[in-house]
Amino acid sequence: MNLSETSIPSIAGEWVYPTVSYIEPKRLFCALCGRPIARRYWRASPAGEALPFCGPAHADLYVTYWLPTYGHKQRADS
Amino acid sequence: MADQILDPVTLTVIDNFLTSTCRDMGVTMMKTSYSPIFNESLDFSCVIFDPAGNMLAQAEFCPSQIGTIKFTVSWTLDELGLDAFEPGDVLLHDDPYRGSGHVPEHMMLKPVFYEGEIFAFVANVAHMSEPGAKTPGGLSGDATEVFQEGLLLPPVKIKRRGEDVPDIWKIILANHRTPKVTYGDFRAMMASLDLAELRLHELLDNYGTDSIRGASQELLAIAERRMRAEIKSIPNGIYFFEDVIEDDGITDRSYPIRLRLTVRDEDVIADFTGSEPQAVGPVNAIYAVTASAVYNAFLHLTDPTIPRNEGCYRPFTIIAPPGTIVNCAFPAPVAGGNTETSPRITDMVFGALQNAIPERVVAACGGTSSPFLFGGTDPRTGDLYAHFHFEGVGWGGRHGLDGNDMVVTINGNCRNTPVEVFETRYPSFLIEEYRLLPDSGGPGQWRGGLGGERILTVTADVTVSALLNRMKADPWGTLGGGDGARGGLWVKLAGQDQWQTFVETFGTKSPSKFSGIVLHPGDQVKLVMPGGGGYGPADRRDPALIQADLENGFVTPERARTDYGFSG
Repeated sequence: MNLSETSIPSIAGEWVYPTVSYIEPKRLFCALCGRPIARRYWRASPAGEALPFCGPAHADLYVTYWLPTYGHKQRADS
Repeated sequence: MADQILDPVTLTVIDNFLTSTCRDMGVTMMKTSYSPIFNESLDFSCVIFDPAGNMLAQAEFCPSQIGTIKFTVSWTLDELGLDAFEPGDVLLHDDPYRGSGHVPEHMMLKPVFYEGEIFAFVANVAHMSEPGAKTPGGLSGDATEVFQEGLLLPPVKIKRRGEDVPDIWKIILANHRTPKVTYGDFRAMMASLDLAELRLHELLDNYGTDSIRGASQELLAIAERRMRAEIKSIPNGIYFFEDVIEDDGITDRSYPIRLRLTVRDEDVIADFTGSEPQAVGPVNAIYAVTASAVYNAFLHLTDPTIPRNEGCYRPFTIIAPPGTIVNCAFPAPVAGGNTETSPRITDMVFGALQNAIPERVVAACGGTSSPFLFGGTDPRTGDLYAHFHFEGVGWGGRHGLDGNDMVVTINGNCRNTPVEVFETRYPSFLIEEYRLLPDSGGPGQWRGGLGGERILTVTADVTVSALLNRMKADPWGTLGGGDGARGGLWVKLAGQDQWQTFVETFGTKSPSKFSGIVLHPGDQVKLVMPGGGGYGPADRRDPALIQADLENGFVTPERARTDYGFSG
C-alpha cells in the first residue's frame, strides 16, 4: 500500500472544488473511508460510477482493499 | 543566522523546540484560565501546523484532542483557504460536523506570518465547561440532536488583524451560562497562541525559513519511517474485535462496534464496516474521533520516542461508514462519542491485537470519562455556574505490570478536580468520601487497576447530568485475565436510607445517561468508577504480589481466595 496524496495514482481522476455552502448542511463523504469532505475532493471512477474520495490514495485503496473485501457493494451514502 | 544545512543534532533541537513550545502553550493556558477544567483538569491540547495543515508538533496533552485537531484544522484550511488569513487573526471553531471532537471543545487557530507570508499555524483546543447546551455543562446524556449540545460555531474570526471581533464575542457570551468564565478561558487560549507565535519568530530569526521548512519536512518523514518500521514488527494479518456502547440515554439497547484490522507490511487499515447505525442518543462519534482513537491506540503500542507529528498518522487508513455510531451523520448528538466511544475504540484495537503482540497490548480500561455535569445559581454571588466533573477509572493490566488505579480514561490524559478546589469553587456539594474500591481490578497475572467511589452531599439546589458507561458491560480482561468491576451511579434523597439508581428515583431512561435532574440540600450522589481488566491467567500471579495487594487493601481475603486460590 504505502499510498499518500503525493504518490502517483493508478486510478485516473480529477480534483473538484465545489463552492462552500452555509445553507446546505448535507455533506459528501469519501467513498472509501467515509470521512466528510470539507470542500475539495478527488473524483474518480474505480468501478464505473464516479465517486468522491479524499484523494487519489483512497481511490486506489478502493480498488486494492474495498472491492476485494466487499465486492461492488457501495455504501448507501456513496 | 543564515539558512544552513541541518545535522541530526540540530534537527533534534528544532523538534524539541517545537514540542516544548507546545508545552509552554499549555502552561500558559493552565496559569491564566478561569475554569478548573482548564487549570486543574488540563482538558486541552496545543499543536503547531504547517500551512498545508500537517501537524508539526504537539505535547503530552489530551490524546483524543490531539488526534482530532488535525481534522479540525484541515477542515478550517480547506473550507476557508489560505487567502482568508491575515496577520493577527484568530479563528474559533467548535462544530463537530466540521471536524471538531464535540461541541464543548473549542479550537482556536492563529496564522504565524514571517517575512510577509504564512509560515505556520498555531492552534489549541480546549473543553469549555459551559458551551450553552440544554443543561449546565453540556454533555446532556439524553440529547437527541447536536443543537441540544451547545452553540455551534463554524470557523469564524474572533480576532481580525489583532483586534477583537465584538459581534462574535457578543453572540458567544450571550449563549453561555457563564460568560465570565468563557471570557477568561478564551483569553487564556489566545495568550497561548500569542506565546507560540513569539517562539516561532525566535526560531525563524535563529535558523531562517528555509532551514525550518526543511527540518519540518524531514521530521515528518522521520516520524513516518519510524512508525512504518514499528508496524512492520506486527505480524501481517486481519484481526477482529467487537465491543459495545451499552445504551444511549434514550433507548435501552446496546450498540455493537465492529473492527476489522488489517496489518499489511507497514500499513494499517482499521475498518469499522458493520458497526451499528448511529444512536438516537449522544454516544455517536464523528469520523475524526474514531480516527483519533485508532491513532491513540497505536501511539500506545509503538515506540514513544517517535516524533509526534503528522508523519505518525500517515500509515493508517480508518474506514468508518457514514451514518453509523463511529461516523454519525448530521444532526445526530455526539457529546459522548468523544468521552465514551473513543476509549472503547482504543481498547478494541488492543483487543484485536492481543494474540499478535501479546507483550504490548493492555486489557480494557474502565472505559468511561465518567462525565458528571452540574450547575445552578451560586447563592453566595447570585451568578450562574457550571462544571464538567470527570473521574478516573482502573486501567487494564499489561505484560509485566498491573493497571493504573483511578487514572482518567485512555483518551483523556486529564486530571480530575481536587476535592479542595471542587468544594471551594462550587457551592453545590460536600465530598463525603473519595476512595479506591477493593476487588474492582480484574484478576490476572497482572491485575487490572482499581476503580473508585465518591460520595457527594448536596448543599445547595443543583442541576445534574451524566453520561457514563461500563455500568452494564464489563471492562474485559485479556489473554485469560478476568473482567474488571462495573461502575455505578446512585442517588439517595434526603431522608431516605437506601441508595437507588436514577431510573428508580427519577424515572430516567438510563441509569448512566440523563440530564437536568434537580437535587436539593441533603440529597446524596454516589459515583462508582469501573476497574480495569486483568492480563493473563490469575493463577500465574506472583504470590508476593497477592500478599502485597492484601496488605494494601486492594484485594480482600475472600477474593484472594476465590480469584487467585491464595490463602496466605
